[in-house]
Amino acid sequence: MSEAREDRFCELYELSRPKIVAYALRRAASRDDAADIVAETFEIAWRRLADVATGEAGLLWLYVTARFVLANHGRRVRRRDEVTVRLAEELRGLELREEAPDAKSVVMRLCLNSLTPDERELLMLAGWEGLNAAQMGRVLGCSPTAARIRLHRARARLTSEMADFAAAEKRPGRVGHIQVRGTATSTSPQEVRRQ
Amino acid sequence: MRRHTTFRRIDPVDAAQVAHISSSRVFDDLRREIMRATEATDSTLDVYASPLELRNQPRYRRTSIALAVAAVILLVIGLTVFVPRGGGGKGAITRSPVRATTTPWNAARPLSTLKGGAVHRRSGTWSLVDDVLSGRWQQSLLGPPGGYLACPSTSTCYAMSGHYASADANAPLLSVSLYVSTDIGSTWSVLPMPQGFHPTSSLACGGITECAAGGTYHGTSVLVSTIDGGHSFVIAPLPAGDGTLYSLSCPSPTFCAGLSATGSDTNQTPSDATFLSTSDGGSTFVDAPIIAGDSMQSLACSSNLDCTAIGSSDALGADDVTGGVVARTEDGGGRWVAGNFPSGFGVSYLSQLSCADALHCSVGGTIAITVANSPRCASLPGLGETPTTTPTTTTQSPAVQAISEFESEVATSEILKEAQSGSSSFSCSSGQTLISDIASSSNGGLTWTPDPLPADVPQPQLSGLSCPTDKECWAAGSDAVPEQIGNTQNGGSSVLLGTTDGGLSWSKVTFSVPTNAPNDYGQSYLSIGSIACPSANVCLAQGSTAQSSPSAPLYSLVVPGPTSPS
Repeated sequence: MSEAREDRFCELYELSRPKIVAYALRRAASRDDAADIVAETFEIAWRRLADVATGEAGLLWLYVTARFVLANHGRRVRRRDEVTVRLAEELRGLELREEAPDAKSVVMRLCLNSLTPDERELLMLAGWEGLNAAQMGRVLGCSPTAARIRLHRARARLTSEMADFAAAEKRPGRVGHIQVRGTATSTSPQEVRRQ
Repeated sequence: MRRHTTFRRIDPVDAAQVAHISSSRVFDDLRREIMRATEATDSTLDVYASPLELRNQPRYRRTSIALAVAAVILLVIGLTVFVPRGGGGKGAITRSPVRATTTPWNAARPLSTLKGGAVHRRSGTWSLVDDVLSGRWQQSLLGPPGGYLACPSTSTCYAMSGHYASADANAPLLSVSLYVSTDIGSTWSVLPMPQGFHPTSSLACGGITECAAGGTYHGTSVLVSTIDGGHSFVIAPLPAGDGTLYSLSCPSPTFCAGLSATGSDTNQTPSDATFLSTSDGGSTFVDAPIIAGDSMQSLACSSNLDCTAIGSSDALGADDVTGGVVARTEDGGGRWVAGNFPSGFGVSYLSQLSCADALHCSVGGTIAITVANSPRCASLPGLGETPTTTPTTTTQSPAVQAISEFESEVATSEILKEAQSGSSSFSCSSGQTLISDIASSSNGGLTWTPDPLPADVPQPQLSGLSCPTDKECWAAGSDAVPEQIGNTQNGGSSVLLGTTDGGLSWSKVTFSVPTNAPNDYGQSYLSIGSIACPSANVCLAQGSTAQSSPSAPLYSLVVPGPTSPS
């Protein structure tokens, strides 16, 4: 293997690993899964380094790859090596903000879960990964304009879900009704916070 | 935008923590393990081949025709929906994409002026005079050179500082560096900014790794931004004719807005600045006029839509800095509504504006006071114990007048105390004195209330302001309390003020400077220039220093609790 190839991978790895770790943590069901996704994403990048673009596009390539790794994760059993196990342990030491900071955020989190996976992904890419329309377009395989429009619609859907929730809250004798991870849950933001 | 900001708050991942954990050794082991792996292909590879290409993604193939049709429809809808907002409404102009360049990636170098790589040297704590506020300020004698501070999270802070040939006023700027700390100022790394870049605005960070600054690049007006924490920069030229960015605010990782003007008046206030915003790192800009006849000089945006600008009225002229103007937009610059400062409260080029949210803003402005001269001034020709001439000032409203009278008494009292102490130095004025005051607004800047400042802060001059919440604000600058540091006698002192009740009452932070503190040209403790408070109870401030000073004192406030870094 050439030194240039190694250097290139090292640079990509150094630059992007916090972002890919964050991406995986935000979406994976567990820290073990997140570790698998990180490891597998970079394995693929190493094998397909010739396909990986340079600069910012390299990170976007990794996001796309991580997205597919995540989508396929449940379909097969990954061979876990010692390093990935250690990585999972390291990630378990990370404190995730499991609880939303206020009632509005709790509702927003619940409403986010009620959106379609694509809508959720758009909102997360924009809000959490901080991607712009052009970058989201590359990750999702669509044009920047399409990404922008889809994001606009996703935001509108989220706002609408939140408004519906708030309206249901205000109705006498009614509480908000919202679908959480496939389970119908009837609750108020305050109750959610205590869970 | 507010919605976007709230959405970020539900992010389960703290990027600073992830950045920290990513430096763990296991990642190096993982990289080595991956690179040791054989080149053998596996059956899953086809799925991932060229993931950026649509043709390898089956679901896009299946629906490509439908998507193509939908894209056209969505494009029409998108243009309908976005043009009025993005275009900024009446009078706004969307500028065509301009060519941006990206600098090569640079590794960060630890800033190690002390043993062990840590730059800080703790020296006791500051305490608050009044027990209104909780916490203790830590004082560090050494930090990066003085510059612009920005803290996008409770642990990550950036300082943009220039390196000058000497401390002389006209010394050339040699280079600019971005200093990065992930532990609220305890240790720093340094990264080079593009050679040839001269900042004209403060540093603004909309995300943990996303920062930007306005300036010139080899003479061309540009926005310089980074999305990877300063390892590389995009240099985006501003649209021709828009001048240079003087003030910049980035409320989110992807959106920045600034005030851009082609020139400034004699008081360094940019003349007739325009509102320039970008949502794509400077590839395209939207240029929107603010209010005709006003020269805005400072801007704060709490979201992509909500911004407040402050400045001075062209009609009043450059000589009167006690009649400020203010305007607010709720649609990203398309429509501006003029607000009102209380009469006699003005804005100078030093004025700072900080908005905790769309409604709650604070500003450091200027008011005129009358200060009795020291009795010793009587011996000087043309100067008596009472100043006889006045600068051009706007008539004061009752609220401003009350503060002016109080501040006049405080200043006079300090001068008399100084004279009685037999101090060798005294200052004489031939007219009214301009001092800083803070005003607070709870309606986005439409109306303002001037805040009374503490009685132990004579003649405050404030140059830094940061409000992390609607109730908590911190202001930095100097006052007229003489101070002896080692062999150096200063006519004034550094000042930090804080409020936790939305400006109803302010408290002063007190501290002492060790006699052996680095004090280049005797200027390191005259004033605190920049302050950044990313959340309640977490702040970092930096002393103003001589421009070639290799380091500046740092002051950090971290109150243990849920909002402080772990």
